[in-house]
Amino acid sequence: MMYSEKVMEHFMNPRNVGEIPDANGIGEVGNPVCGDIMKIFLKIKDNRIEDVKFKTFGCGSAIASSSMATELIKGKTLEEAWELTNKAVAEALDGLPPVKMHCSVLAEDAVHKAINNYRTSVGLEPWDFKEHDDIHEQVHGE
Amino acid sequence: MKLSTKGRYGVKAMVDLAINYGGEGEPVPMKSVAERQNISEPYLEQLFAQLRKAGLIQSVRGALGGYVLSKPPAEILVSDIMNVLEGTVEISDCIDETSCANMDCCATRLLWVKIKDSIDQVLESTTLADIVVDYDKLKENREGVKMDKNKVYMDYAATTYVKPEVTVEMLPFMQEFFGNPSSIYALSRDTQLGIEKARNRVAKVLNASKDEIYFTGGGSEADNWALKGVAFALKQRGNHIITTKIEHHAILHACEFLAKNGFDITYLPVDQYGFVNPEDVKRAITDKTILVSVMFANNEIGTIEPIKEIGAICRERKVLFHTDAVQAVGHIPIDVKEMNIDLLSLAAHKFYGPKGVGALYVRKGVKLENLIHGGGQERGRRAGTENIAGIVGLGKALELAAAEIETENRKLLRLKDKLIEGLLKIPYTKLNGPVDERRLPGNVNVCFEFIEGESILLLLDSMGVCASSGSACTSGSLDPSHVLVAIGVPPEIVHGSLRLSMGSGTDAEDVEKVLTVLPGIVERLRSMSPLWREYQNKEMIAQ
Repeated sequence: MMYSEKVMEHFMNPRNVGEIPDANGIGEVGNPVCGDIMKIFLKIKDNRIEDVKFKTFGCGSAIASSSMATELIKGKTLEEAWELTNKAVAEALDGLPPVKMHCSVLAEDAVHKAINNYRTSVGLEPWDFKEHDDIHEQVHGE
Repeated sequence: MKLSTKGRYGVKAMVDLAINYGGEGEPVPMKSVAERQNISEPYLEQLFAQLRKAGLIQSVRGALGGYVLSKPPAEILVSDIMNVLEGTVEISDCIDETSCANMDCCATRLLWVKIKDSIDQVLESTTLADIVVDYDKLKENREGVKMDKNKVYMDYAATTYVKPEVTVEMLPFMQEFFGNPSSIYALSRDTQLGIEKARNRVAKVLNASKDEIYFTGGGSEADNWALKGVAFALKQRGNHIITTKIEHHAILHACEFLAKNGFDITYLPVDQYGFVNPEDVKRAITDKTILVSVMFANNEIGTIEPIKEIGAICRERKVLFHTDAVQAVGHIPIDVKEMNIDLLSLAAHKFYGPKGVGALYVRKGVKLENLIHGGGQERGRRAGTENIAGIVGLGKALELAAAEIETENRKLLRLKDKLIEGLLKIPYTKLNGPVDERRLPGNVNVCFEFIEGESILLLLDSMGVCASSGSACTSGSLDPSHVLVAIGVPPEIVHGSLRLSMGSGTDAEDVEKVLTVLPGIVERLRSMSPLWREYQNKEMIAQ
């Protein structure tokens, strides 16, 4: 299994690592038993993502996917950020090995969860969103 | 032949001066020659005094002083040195014309003269520079192994490099003696001899006889052959096979295949260190049991199983006993007779032999169906034209490894203790596997809490350290190590495992380097981990 140079670059120098103390949208996905957890912190102002940070427990591609996802949504409106797909994350990383595609799914889910966390906190309806619960069964299989 | 320690040490010391000669003759302190060549200083002083008198070396006074060759190494013959220290080499008294009665007509005298002439020829045609060149080549071969001096290889359990001595024996069997061993002409007789020599060597190391050794295309083939071969040979007698939860996938997946084909498999549990309880084996045996397969030593956590006890139980109950000894052969002493082993798998690339070649020991009288059908190679038991060079390499590598077990293990145990001690200083780090001598001497396996194994490996690699992990993410499947799960490592910790396996090329410097870079790597990944933060928060609240 080989990672692309882009994945390695984002793994070695991840962007936006950390926490935002006064974040108004937080999303956490994954669990320690499966070996990956992603937590995304958003600072949203005037419907725009002013700042974003992440903390991730996981493999190289999980860390690189988190880093890339935060880069892709920084400065975007919530509507624009909602359009982020796992495919977009993987493509921006010049591809992920098939067995690691679920890492990009985690990134998409974490962003969606954080946006909805913000929306509910300010009294808005959460957007329709189905967490990819099945992803772990798919990859851990059998 | 008159070749005393004086001559040998003298040449050694002179070669040392030649190696350290530099461009224009650098003086070398006598103390460092003595240390490097393991010669006592007073003795070396005597040798140097004689060599200096003869004008072969000079002494240089002062802080940077020492001894230096009087001429460049290319101008000093080994015979020059020998003449000073030993006089001319005489191999028999009878060459001296005064002490022989049959001077004029002696049959053996011609032989002595011939030998003396050829010794003289070597000594008079070899310069110190020639020796240094040969030595550099050997060193290059050995260090080629390390790829580059800044790299630390700690994945010997995955595979080893091929020792230069092994490559040297293999080469003629690729170029000169390439004949198909099944052919009749003389060219093939040499390849047959090569294979039989290797078979003898393997048999000797395992205390087996040579017709009990069959060469295969590696350890996985040997495992598959043992399991499927016994299963299909004895299926009339029973369909029950006993193995363990911590076997290599070559065993586990072969068992899954057999289960799909009507066999019942019992997977025995292990304790927290990975040990199989022989009593469990005893209890699991039924009148349908045809085979017990327990690995000799575990590849991930190094547990050495009680093979002799399990073998005795199987022998008593008349059940065949196979052991996957891929990690053990060449690293710990094995005696198939004493240990009651009926079948044993081994692979050359785990003991400094080439990849793609292994062997199965099959005790005489054990019934086994063939796995690979075709030609009549390996006495009709394993078809396919022999991997001659590979087999020759396997034999040589095993002979070398077996001879070095004791010295090698003494070194590895020291390094292992040092490595474990250093690793456990990193907070929230746990050792996996046995803590006593029932562990492979080169194996270290730890879990770092709150972080994931593959990330550790990638960062280690970026700093020139090659290691491996039982972590889910390094294997294709994403499932965590079945071995760590079986010894009861909690699921949230199991992903943070790291295996460092040491071997022949490992030294204290390598251990030092790993211990220097790892704490920073662990800290860096923890600082990114939400689990670490959560844990710290909980700790703070608790206080």
